[in-house]
Amino acid sequence: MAEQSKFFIVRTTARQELNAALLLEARARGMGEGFYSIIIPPDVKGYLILEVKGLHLVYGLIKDIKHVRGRATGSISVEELKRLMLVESVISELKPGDVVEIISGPFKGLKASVISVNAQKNEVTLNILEASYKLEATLPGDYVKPVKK
Amino acid sequence: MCMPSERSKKPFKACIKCKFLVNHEEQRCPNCGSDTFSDEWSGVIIILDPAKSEIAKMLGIGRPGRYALRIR
Repeated sequence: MAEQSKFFIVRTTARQELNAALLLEARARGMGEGFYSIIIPPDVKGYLILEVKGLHLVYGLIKDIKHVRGRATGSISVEELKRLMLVESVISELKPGDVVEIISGPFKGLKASVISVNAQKNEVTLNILEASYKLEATLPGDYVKPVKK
Repeated sequence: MCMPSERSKKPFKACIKCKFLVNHEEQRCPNCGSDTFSDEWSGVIIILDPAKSEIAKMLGIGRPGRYALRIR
Protein backbone atom coordinates (compact mmCIF):
# COMPACT_ATOMS: atom_id res chain seq x y z
CA MET A 1 0.00 0.00 0.00
CA ALA A 2 1.19 3.51 -0.78
CA GLU A 3 2.40 5.63 2.10
CA GLN A 4 -0.22 8.05 3.31
CA SER A 5 0.85 11.63 3.48
CA LYS A 6 -0.01 13.76 6.49
CA PHE A 7 -0.97 17.40 6.60
CA PHE A 8 0.34 19.75 9.29
CA ILE A 9 -0.42 23.41 9.83
CA VAL A 10 2.43 25.89 10.29
CA ARG A 11 1.94 29.41 11.61
CA THR A 12 3.69 32.25 9.82
CA THR A 13 3.82 36.01 10.07
CA ALA A 14 0.71 37.42 8.38
CA ARG A 15 1.26 38.33 4.70
CA GLN A 16 4.63 36.55 4.68
CA GLU A 17 3.14 33.15 3.79
CA LEU A 18 4.70 33.07 0.31
CA ASN A 19 8.15 34.13 1.52
CA ALA A 20 8.04 31.51 4.26
CA ALA A 21 6.87 28.86 1.77
CA LEU A 22 9.71 29.67 -0.63
CA LEU A 23 12.26 29.35 2.18
CA LEU A 24 10.69 26.06 3.26
CA GLU A 25 10.71 24.83 -0.34
CA ALA A 26 14.45 25.51 -0.67
CA ARG A 27 15.19 23.73 2.60
CA ALA A 28 12.90 20.78 1.82
CA ARG A 29 14.66 20.23 -1.51
CA GLY A 30 17.99 20.15 0.33
CA MET A 31 16.76 17.79 3.03
CA GLY A 32 15.74 15.05 0.61
CA GLU A 33 12.72 12.75 0.63
CA GLY A 34 9.57 12.85 2.72
CA PHE A 35 8.29 16.30 1.73
CA TYR A 36 5.44 16.20 -0.74
CA SER A 37 3.95 19.69 -1.00
CA ILE A 38 3.50 23.11 0.64
CA ILE A 39 0.09 24.73 0.43
CA ILE A 40 -0.94 28.34 1.03
CA PRO A 41 -4.74 28.30 1.06
CA PRO A 42 -6.38 31.37 -0.55
CA ASP A 43 -7.99 33.83 1.90
CA VAL A 44 -6.20 32.36 4.93
CA LYS A 45 -3.70 34.68 6.57
CA GLY A 46 -0.84 33.54 8.73
CA TYR A 47 -0.97 29.81 8.05
CA LEU A 48 0.40 27.35 5.57
CA ILE A 49 0.04 23.62 5.29
CA LEU A 50 2.81 21.06 4.85
CA GLU A 51 2.17 17.70 3.25
CA VAL A 52 4.86 15.40 4.59
CA LYS A 53 5.54 11.77 5.36
CA GLY A 54 5.57 12.26 9.14
CA LEU A 55 5.52 14.83 11.92
CA HIS A 56 9.22 14.44 12.74
CA LEU A 57 10.11 16.03 9.40
CA VAL A 58 8.11 19.17 10.15
CA TYR A 59 10.22 20.20 13.13
CA GLY A 60 13.48 19.84 11.21
CA LEU A 61 12.05 21.75 8.29
CA ILE A 62 10.64 24.78 10.10
CA LYS A 63 13.48 25.26 12.60
CA ASP A 64 14.98 28.77 12.35
CA ILE A 65 13.14 29.66 9.16
CA LYS A 66 12.36 33.36 8.90
CA HIS A 67 8.65 34.30 9.20
CA VAL A 68 7.72 30.86 10.59
CA ARG A 69 6.20 31.11 14.05
CA GLY A 70 5.83 27.45 14.91
CA ARG A 71 3.45 24.62 14.32
CA ALA A 72 -0.24 24.64 15.15
CA THR A 73 -1.26 21.56 17.12
CA GLY A 74 -3.06 18.74 15.37
CA SER A 75 -3.25 17.85 11.74
CA ILE A 76 -5.77 18.39 9.00
CA SER A 77 -7.58 15.84 6.83
CA VAL A 78 -7.65 15.82 3.04
CA GLU A 79 -11.38 16.64 3.05
CA GLU A 80 -10.87 19.71 5.23
CA LEU A 81 -7.97 20.81 3.08
CA LYS A 82 -10.02 20.35 -0.08
CA ARG A 83 -12.67 22.63 1.38
CA LEU A 84 -10.05 25.26 2.21
CA MET A 85 -8.39 25.15 -1.18
CA LEU A 86 -11.34 24.99 -3.49
CA VAL A 87 -13.52 27.75 -2.03
CA GLU A 88 -15.46 29.14 -4.96
CA SER A 89 -15.96 32.86 -5.12
CA VAL A 90 -19.52 33.97 -4.30
CA ILE A 91 -19.62 35.91 -7.53
CA SER A 92 -19.54 32.80 -9.71
CA GLU A 93 -23.04 31.79 -8.62
CA LEU A 94 -24.67 35.23 -8.86
CA LYS A 95 -26.76 36.26 -11.84
CA PRO A 96 -28.69 39.45 -12.68
CA GLY A 97 -31.91 39.71 -10.70
CA ASP A 98 -30.65 37.87 -7.62
CA VAL A 99 -31.13 39.52 -4.26
CA VAL A 100 -27.99 39.86 -2.14
CA GLU A 101 -27.09 41.31 1.21
CA ILE A 102 -24.15 43.69 1.43
CA ILE A 103 -21.88 42.51 4.22
CA SER A 104 -19.08 45.05 4.10
CA GLY A 105 -18.30 48.64 3.12
CA PRO A 106 -20.46 51.77 3.46
CA PHE A 107 -23.66 49.95 2.41
CA LYS A 108 -23.20 47.17 4.95
CA GLY A 109 -26.45 45.58 6.06
CA LEU A 110 -28.53 46.74 3.06
CA LYS A 111 -30.22 44.45 0.57
CA ALA A 112 -29.67 44.91 -3.14
CA SER A 113 -30.54 43.29 -6.45
CA VAL A 114 -27.83 42.32 -8.90
CA ILE A 115 -27.73 44.26 -12.18
CA SER A 116 -24.57 42.79 -13.67
CA VAL A 117 -21.64 40.63 -12.68
CA ASN A 118 -18.05 41.09 -13.85
CA ALA A 119 -16.33 37.86 -12.89
CA GLN A 120 -12.97 38.90 -14.34
CA LYS A 121 -12.74 42.01 -12.19
CA ASN A 122 -14.56 40.27 -9.32
CA GLU A 123 -17.06 43.14 -9.23
CA VAL A 124 -20.79 43.21 -9.03
CA THR A 125 -23.10 46.11 -9.93
CA LEU A 126 -26.06 46.39 -7.62
CA ASN A 127 -29.31 48.29 -7.30
CA ILE A 128 -29.73 49.04 -3.62
CA LEU A 129 -33.31 48.20 -2.69
CA GLU A 130 -33.57 49.98 0.63
CA ALA A 131 -32.55 53.39 -0.71
CA SER A 132 -35.39 55.91 -1.18
CA TYR A 133 -34.11 56.82 -4.65
CA LYS A 134 -32.50 54.73 -7.37
CA LEU A 135 -29.01 53.97 -6.21
CA GLU A 136 -26.57 51.88 -8.21
CA ALA A 137 -23.24 50.80 -6.82
CA THR A 138 -20.38 48.65 -8.06
CA LEU A 139 -18.81 46.67 -5.27
CA PRO A 140 -16.16 43.95 -4.96
CA GLY A 141 -17.59 40.44 -5.09
CA ASP A 142 -16.40 39.74 -1.55
CA TYR A 143 -18.72 42.43 -0.17
CA VAL A 144 -21.94 40.57 -0.95
CA LYS A 145 -23.69 37.47 0.30
CA PRO A 146 -26.60 35.84 -1.54
CA VAL A 147 -29.94 35.95 0.28
CA LYS A 148 -31.65 32.59 0.44
CA LYS A 149 -34.80 32.47 -1.66
CA MET B 1 0.80 40.09 -22.01
CA CYS B 2 0.86 41.46 -18.48
CA MET B 3 3.59 43.58 -16.99
CA PRO B 4 4.31 43.85 -13.30
CA SER B 5 2.81 47.13 -12.14
CA GLU B 6 3.90 49.32 -9.26
CA ARG B 7 0.91 48.10 -7.28
CA SER B 8 1.59 44.45 -7.89
CA LYS B 9 3.86 43.12 -5.17
CA LYS B 10 3.55 39.52 -6.22
CA PRO B 11 6.88 37.99 -7.21
CA PHE B 12 5.25 35.69 -9.77
CA LYS B 13 2.63 35.71 -12.47
CA ALA B 14 0.37 32.75 -13.08
CA CYS B 15 -0.16 30.96 -16.38
CA ILE B 16 -3.88 31.17 -17.12
CA LYS B 17 -3.89 27.77 -18.82
CA CYS B 18 -2.04 25.56 -16.30
CA LYS B 19 -1.77 27.89 -13.23
CA PHE B 20 2.03 27.46 -13.13
CA LEU B 21 3.75 30.37 -11.37
CA VAL B 22 6.63 31.95 -13.27
CA ASN B 23 8.85 35.02 -12.85
CA HIS B 24 7.65 38.23 -14.48
CA GLU B 25 10.53 38.15 -16.99
CA GLU B 26 9.39 34.86 -18.53
CA GLN B 27 7.60 35.21 -21.87
CA ARG B 28 6.35 31.63 -22.13
CA CYS B 29 5.13 29.17 -19.54
CA PRO B 30 7.83 26.51 -19.09
CA ASN B 31 5.12 24.00 -18.17
CA CYS B 32 2.62 24.29 -21.04
CA GLY B 33 4.13 26.83 -23.49
CA SER B 34 1.23 29.26 -23.17
CA ASP B 35 1.93 33.01 -23.30
CA THR B 36 -1.10 34.29 -21.38
CA PHE B 37 -0.50 35.18 -17.76
CA SER B 38 -2.39 36.83 -14.93
CA ASP B 39 -1.29 38.82 -11.88
CA GLU B 40 -4.66 38.26 -10.22
CA TRP B 41 -4.11 34.98 -8.47
CA SER B 42 -4.37 33.73 -4.91
CA GLY B 43 -3.35 30.64 -3.02
CA VAL B 44 -0.20 28.67 -3.83
CA ILE B 45 0.70 25.03 -3.92
CA ILE B 46 4.35 24.06 -4.17
CA ILE B 47 4.61 20.49 -5.37
CA LEU B 48 7.84 18.81 -4.29
CA ASP B 49 7.03 15.15 -4.99
CA PRO B 50 4.10 14.75 -7.41
CA ALA B 51 4.27 10.95 -7.30
CA LYS B 52 3.59 10.80 -3.56
CA SER B 53 1.56 13.96 -2.98
CA GLU B 54 -2.17 13.32 -2.54
CA ILE B 55 -2.96 16.93 -3.35
CA ALA B 56 -1.00 16.76 -6.62
CA LYS B 57 -2.99 13.68 -7.59
CA MET B 58 -6.25 15.37 -6.64
CA LEU B 59 -5.43 18.43 -8.75
CA GLY B 60 -3.95 16.37 -11.59
CA ILE B 61 -0.48 17.90 -11.29
CA GLY B 62 2.34 15.70 -12.56
CA ARG B 63 5.28 18.07 -12.52
CA PRO B 64 7.01 19.61 -9.49
CA GLY B 65 6.83 23.38 -9.19
CA ARG B 66 4.75 26.26 -7.94
CA TYR B 67 1.12 26.59 -8.92
CA ALA B 68 -1.62 29.10 -8.13
CA LEU B 69 -4.83 27.73 -6.65
CA ARG B 70 -7.20 30.38 -7.90
CA ILE B 71 -6.90 32.76 -10.86
CA ARG B 72 -9.22 35.66 -11.53
